Amino acid sequence: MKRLSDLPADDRLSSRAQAMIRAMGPTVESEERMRRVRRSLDAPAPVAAPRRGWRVGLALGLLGVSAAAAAGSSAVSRALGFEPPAPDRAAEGTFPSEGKLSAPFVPPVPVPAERVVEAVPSPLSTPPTTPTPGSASMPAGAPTLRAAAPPLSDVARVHEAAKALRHDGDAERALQLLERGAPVTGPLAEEALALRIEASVTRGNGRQAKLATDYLARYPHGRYRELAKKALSESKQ
Amino acid sequence: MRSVPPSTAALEEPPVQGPIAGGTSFVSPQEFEALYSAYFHHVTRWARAFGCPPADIDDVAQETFLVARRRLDQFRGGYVAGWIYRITQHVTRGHRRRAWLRRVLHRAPGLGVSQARQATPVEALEQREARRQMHDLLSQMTERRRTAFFLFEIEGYTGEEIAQLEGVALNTVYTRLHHARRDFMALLARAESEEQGT
Repeated sequence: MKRLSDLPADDRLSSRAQAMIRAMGPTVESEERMRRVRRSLDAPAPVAAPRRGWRVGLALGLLGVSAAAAAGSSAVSRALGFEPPAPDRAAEGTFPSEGKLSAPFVPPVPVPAERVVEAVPSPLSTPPTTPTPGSASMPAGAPTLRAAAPPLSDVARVHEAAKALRHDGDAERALQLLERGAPVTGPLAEEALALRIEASVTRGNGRQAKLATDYLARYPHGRYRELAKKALSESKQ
Repeated sequence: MRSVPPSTAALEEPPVQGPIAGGTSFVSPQEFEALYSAYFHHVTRWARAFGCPPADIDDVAQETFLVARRRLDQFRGGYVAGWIYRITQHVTRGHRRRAWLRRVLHRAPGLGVSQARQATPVEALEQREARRQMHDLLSQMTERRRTAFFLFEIEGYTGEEIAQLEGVALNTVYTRLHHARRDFMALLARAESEEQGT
């Protein structure tokens, strides 16, 4: 079988295809690259956060979302009259106090349709402290489903922050997501720091120089060093 | 730096004999060095054929050999090139997923675009545009066809070598190449008609 580039170019399309194949060209063999990669094989590997963490976070997130969905569907079915409405104990102020629960399972409080949205874990909500019903940390009127919201994993935080910054243009929220709680670690730590630099530049809070210096110190050959250098030079001007 | 057709010697005969072929759990540093020097350039070609961005090829090659070194003692003989080829495929897939996320995260508007400010000769620009179009077209093909097309048409592997690496019959490779070419030309024609339409 002959290669396309060896066949006669009868028409314009064939000659364009050949030109594109030539433009791609075979991979350039580089001895320098070979030595560089060989050296890096023996270098100590960077300490990465255990991957189990984000999986657990994801599982908790799915649990939270499914709980919210179940409560939502229950509320909708009640609203549609598929089952008799339960008394709104929270509204009546009859939330069972701690220690007086007769059963270990607390049925979800009927949530109006517009409040179901609130029940879905929000990236901006503070990390939940899993308050018990009737305890001091949970007001009687608060939707109980909020307690099921798990803390966002590092991956989810970076993802949400990127969406906030790029899609919504909300640098403030991106910074909140990235800086609230423990710093992002693991494979996306570099991305998180670069995002913080970008958000700081967008917001103009004057912190980009410190962050950029930090980035360049931690990742001298990092993927976003150009971004850091640019942020640093702009802050000096 | 040089650009030459791939040396196929390493594909024909595994460079590492003895412990690997025999399934012994000990692999000496010399054996790993032989493996590395015999397959490094192939790994970079395969990574590119699997769709690894040029800037990330070093990372993929490094990760591939890290995995290979870690698992050498589990290799129970057979075709070494095919074994490393599979590792490269898995590593590149994982890398592409991460790279996708990074691309989404760092499509920085107005930041880190120093390349755009550099003066570029017209020829280089045209070549870059051709490469970009090529990537666009290849990304619309199925992975099997794209890999066969890339290895055969661009990297210069023979049909027999691709069949060995993929662990499939030669006719299967030719069928994939046939379909890949047809897809490629159809996609190119469509791209041309769209260009003319705009």
